[in-house]
Amino acid sequence: MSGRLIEELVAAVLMAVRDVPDPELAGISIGSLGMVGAVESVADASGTFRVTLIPTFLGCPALRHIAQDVKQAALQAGAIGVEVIFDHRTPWTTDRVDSTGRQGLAELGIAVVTPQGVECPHCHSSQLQLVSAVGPASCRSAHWCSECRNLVEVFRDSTTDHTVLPLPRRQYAHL
Amino acid sequence: MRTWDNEDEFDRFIEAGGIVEAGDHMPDRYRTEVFRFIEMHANSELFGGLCEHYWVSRAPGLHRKLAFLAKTQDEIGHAHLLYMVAADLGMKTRQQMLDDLFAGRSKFHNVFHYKTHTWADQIVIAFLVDAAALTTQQAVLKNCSYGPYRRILRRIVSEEGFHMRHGEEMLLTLADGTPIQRAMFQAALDRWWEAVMHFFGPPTKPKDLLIRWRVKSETNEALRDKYVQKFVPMLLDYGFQIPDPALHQEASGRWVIGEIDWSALSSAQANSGEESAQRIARSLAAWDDTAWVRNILEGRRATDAA
Repeated sequence: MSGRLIEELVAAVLMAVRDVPDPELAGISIGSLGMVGAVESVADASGTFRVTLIPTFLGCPALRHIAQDVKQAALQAGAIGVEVIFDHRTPWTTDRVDSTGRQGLAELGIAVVTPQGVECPHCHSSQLQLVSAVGPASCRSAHWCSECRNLVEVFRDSTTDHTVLPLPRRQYAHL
Repeated sequence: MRTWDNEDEFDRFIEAGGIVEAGDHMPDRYRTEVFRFIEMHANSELFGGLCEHYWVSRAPGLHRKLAFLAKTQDEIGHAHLLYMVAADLGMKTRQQMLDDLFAGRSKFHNVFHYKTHTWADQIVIAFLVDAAALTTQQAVLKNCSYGPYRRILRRIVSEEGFHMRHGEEMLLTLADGTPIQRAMFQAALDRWWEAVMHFFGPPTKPKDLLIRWRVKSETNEALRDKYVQKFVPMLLDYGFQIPDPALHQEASGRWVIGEIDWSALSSAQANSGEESAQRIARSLAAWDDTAWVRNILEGRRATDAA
């Protein structure tokens, strides 16, 4: 395969892989979540590509399904062979989520934590109280918005400092 | 905060597609109906999580164990969110709901009143029961009038979709497996099919308040039928038999199931099913076993809790 063709294929595979939907978050792609690392052609130029993915947390149960979907998407984009590897050295952090991802997550009622804190995706209030550091998934914590009285989840990473989400527990103690 | 002078006015608001928020001055009967519905959903998520947790140590292979561990977290997490939203309606606190559940005074889905005999029974639950739950939840999500519930349901539905994918993969492993594996699944299907049909509930009454106020938007029969049309042909394609001698296909291609015997559902609803007492006891034991975690989180000392 020529160098030019390989370059074009790398771009096509990267685009296809970025569009793979997250299996647990309706309408959100793994690209938007910042889970896609590099796409490279392996040395022998046979049309086999290596896709590196960065899991949001170690031991995520969806990884096997994501790898299957990525493989399929890459093959459809023209790759002849695909090798999916998970990068366990680069820590996934919430700043990897792009604006499309943030918007999609907000529509699902999930906020993304920033160094400045976090706001309710429904009413934009900052009155979010931590209910549980671990929600339905290890990458999300559960919070109560005392402003609009909705239960929201916050996408977090291993570096998230929960003290940016202070406020006394007592405000929802009546529940 | 919005307020309505009477139920007729509230009815018109609902009919016009209105969404009720937690702070609204909703009619008492609406509050009660929505609360009971969410409480039962929360109880069922909790029991679903405990049911999956039981299989973590028994599931074959590391991948399956990991998946069951994660699903347990999902379900308990869902229960947690739902209990908060239910408690906010002000009818019962979360602790009161749990106390009622442990004392056998509350309802939870019929499928958690029976015993799982083999790994294949758990696959029936993970695939066929989860699919039934997803069918009913999608129908609620489509048009539910209570905003805070609808918002968490959206996330729950997308997560349950992922569980089903895992369930289907496990089913395919058995369907593709040895004659013993296939027979194991068939035996589980024979035990569970009636309970799966019961899952959708008895025919909806014409004056059902949940339908009137758009908590639910489809009748139990309509949802059961939708499910039958999808899963009967799928199971037959995999070469399994549906334990319903009256099941047949009409010329139009539509599948028609036989008359349903509701007796088992009635005893499940009265918490006197085959496994009801054990499940309730196990949920209480799980709650007691984890008391130390709550004590630490709430800054209590072990001696205070006693």
